[in-house]
Amino acid sequence: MITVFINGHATQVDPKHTLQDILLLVTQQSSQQSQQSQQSQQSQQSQQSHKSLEQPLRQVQPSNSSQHQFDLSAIAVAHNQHIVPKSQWPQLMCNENDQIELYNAVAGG
Amino acid sequence: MTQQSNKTQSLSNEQFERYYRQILLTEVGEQGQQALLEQHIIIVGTGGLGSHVAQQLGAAGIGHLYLVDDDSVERSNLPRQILFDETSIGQSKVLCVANRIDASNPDLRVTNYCERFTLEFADALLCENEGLQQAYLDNKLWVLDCTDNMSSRQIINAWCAQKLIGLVAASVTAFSGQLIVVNGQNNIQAGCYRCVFPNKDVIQNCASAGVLGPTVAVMASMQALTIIKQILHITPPDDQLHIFNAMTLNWQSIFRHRDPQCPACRHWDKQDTKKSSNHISNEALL
Repeated sequence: MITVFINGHATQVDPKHTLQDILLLVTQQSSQQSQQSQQSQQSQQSQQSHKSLEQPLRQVQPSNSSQHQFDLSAIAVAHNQHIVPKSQWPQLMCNENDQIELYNAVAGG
Repeated sequence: MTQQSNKTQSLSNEQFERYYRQILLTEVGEQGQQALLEQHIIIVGTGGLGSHVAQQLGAAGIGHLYLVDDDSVERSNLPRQILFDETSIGQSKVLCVANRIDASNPDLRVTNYCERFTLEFADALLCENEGLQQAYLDNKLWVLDCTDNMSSRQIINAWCAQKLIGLVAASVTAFSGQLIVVNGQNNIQAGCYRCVFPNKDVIQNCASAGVLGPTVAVMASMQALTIIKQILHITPPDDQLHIFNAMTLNWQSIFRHRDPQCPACRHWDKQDTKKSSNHISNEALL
């Protein structure tokens, strides 16, 4: 199996795929997890809003930095500790025991 | 001109006393300190990262700092941009930083530009400032990217890649920090910033995702340390993406590789581009 780390969290995928295919696969998985997580949060918020009669004066929107979330257009992908330029994702074949890590771009300063 | 000619001589007694702890380091010495004094650095962005970096480099004896930022101080900046205080709110960031660091070191020449960094601005800056132009030709010019958005980062990278000017880009959001050194003169194989992050549409920054002041200060210190070591040539060319996890305090370094199709740096194969005034294609910025 190939281990894919998304923001430090491991996911296992089958080998013998190109890096591009693997990234599309984990994108789909990540999207499903994210939807489930959002549905769960909405359900909790709905229950809380029924309990709370008072609205807070200042509302803070928490940063939505899910550990599984990523955007393929804004990540760096490392294959066995080497970043693979995006143009080479479709050609690179991944093999058994390879390690892939995804890093979200950080732009703040 | 007198100041310039003085700076090519050995350190004065006052300078020797001021920088003694740095000179004590064999990797620095008097010669290294002189190199720092002769260096010109453009700092783009004088918020969380830039204000810290400017203060540290000014104190360390970098001779010439050019500060570029069109932003003003807001109250929400104060927890992490600690050169500012309540009286700074509403004032230009570059002016506030320049005023604070200018007084800290008589060797320091600070020039500030309350403008947004665009290709046009950068070209004009290089054309119209003789000292900067000479530093560029003498390989005594570096750029520090301390901005807070990916669009600006791609513009800065494209300009530095085109002009073969060394770039140290640091960034920080939430509990993550990243640091990249780009140098088209001695580190072609590692590529540029865009080879790692080709997209300009990154949503998250400090305003949207939050950040703690000490995390910003860590990344600013690393950026200042990195540029000093690069100027002194005491480390090999940096071909890695350095990632800081402020939650675990771990650093991770991953090897970078040039993207042969990268529109920003593909001309690096052709030498002798430094003194040319080639126009940067729109493709390099999209």
